[in-house]
Amino acid sequence: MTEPAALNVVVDMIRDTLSLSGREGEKVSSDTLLFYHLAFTSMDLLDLLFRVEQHFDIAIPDGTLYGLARGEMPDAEFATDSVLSAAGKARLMALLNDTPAELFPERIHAASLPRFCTVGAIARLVDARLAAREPCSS
Amino acid sequence: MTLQPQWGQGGSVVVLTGATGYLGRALARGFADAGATLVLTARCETTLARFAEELAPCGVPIHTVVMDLTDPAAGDGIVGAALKLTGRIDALVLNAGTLADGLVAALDGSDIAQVHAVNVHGAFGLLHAALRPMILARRGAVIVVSSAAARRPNVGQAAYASSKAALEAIVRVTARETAGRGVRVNGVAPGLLDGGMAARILDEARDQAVAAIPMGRLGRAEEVVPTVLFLASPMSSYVTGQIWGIDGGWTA
Repeated sequence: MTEPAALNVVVDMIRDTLSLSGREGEKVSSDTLLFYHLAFTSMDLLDLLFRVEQHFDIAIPDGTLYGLARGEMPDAEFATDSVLSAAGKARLMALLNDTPAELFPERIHAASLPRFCTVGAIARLVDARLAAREPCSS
Repeated sequence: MTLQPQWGQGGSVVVLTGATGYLGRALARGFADAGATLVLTARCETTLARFAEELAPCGVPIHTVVMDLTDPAAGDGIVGAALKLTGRIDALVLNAGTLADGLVAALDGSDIAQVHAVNVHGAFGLLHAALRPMILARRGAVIVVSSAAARRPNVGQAAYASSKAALEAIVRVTARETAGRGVRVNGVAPGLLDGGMAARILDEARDQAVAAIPMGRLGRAEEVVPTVLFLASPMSSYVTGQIWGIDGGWTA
């Protein structure tokens, strides 16, 4: 699965989610921020992730974004009491490099990471999970 | 404007917990009579199989899933089985419950833990699992069986009443969260019924209890069924986050 293919599906799903609250007319593109531009709610995000998981037959468990941002960095260096360290914040900003830097506050709680996602970041998340999926044996 | 009643559950898939208890049996019969496909759950395989046989003459598809709600895997297990058997879940009726009465000063911590394990954690696990397919389908009705004790607890009901009060809070929160997804969540709060768990606590004070009910009598399981059918039907399409008292006026 290439990223553009995932991106197109994700964009369609976001439009579907927006239509539930009469927001069909919103512009949705790769660099659109879910929470800042589209006023996504936590439920909108969960709804989107449910649909993405079903469509692509992948699992995106809680903490997936956190794990991708942390990478190989030890958890104690990445965050303290669920608040990202400076190094942790830098890793998150590198992962979400299409999100304007000024949107990242000084103090970032681990539970708030999805709030900084663009539509493109969700598509990349899908690609990462597809790549991590074990290939079929048959 | 003419309202055309749509009480029937024809073709709907209804998952019902605690199906072999006093109220559970009445609910299962009510949904079966209305044409629903049933997925019945209970702990005892023999009792559940026998009850399913009793319902067979109703002529609707009846499936059974033996599960103990205190099993952490119960929620996913029941929902997975229901989806495999029927392909969808239109209504979930969380009816299973237990009680352990005793004065707070005398109640054992393990008693209250056991009651909450079934009534709160067990119900929550199944609700959690069922919401995903309902949200994906953009439709679904959840009906939680609470109790009048949540609003008007009596002496000795700390464990039971607190568990039902917790359930009612979960109903209201979930209703707010899922209202925009076509999923409605409501509860019914029966008062004292003439069978099931209530029968156990009435041996000591039946006359006193009846005297406190404005209608002057205990309720019957069959009198709870129509409200649950209503809450599962399109007739209640604009109703969510509510707890319906069915108690002869006890909490009026």
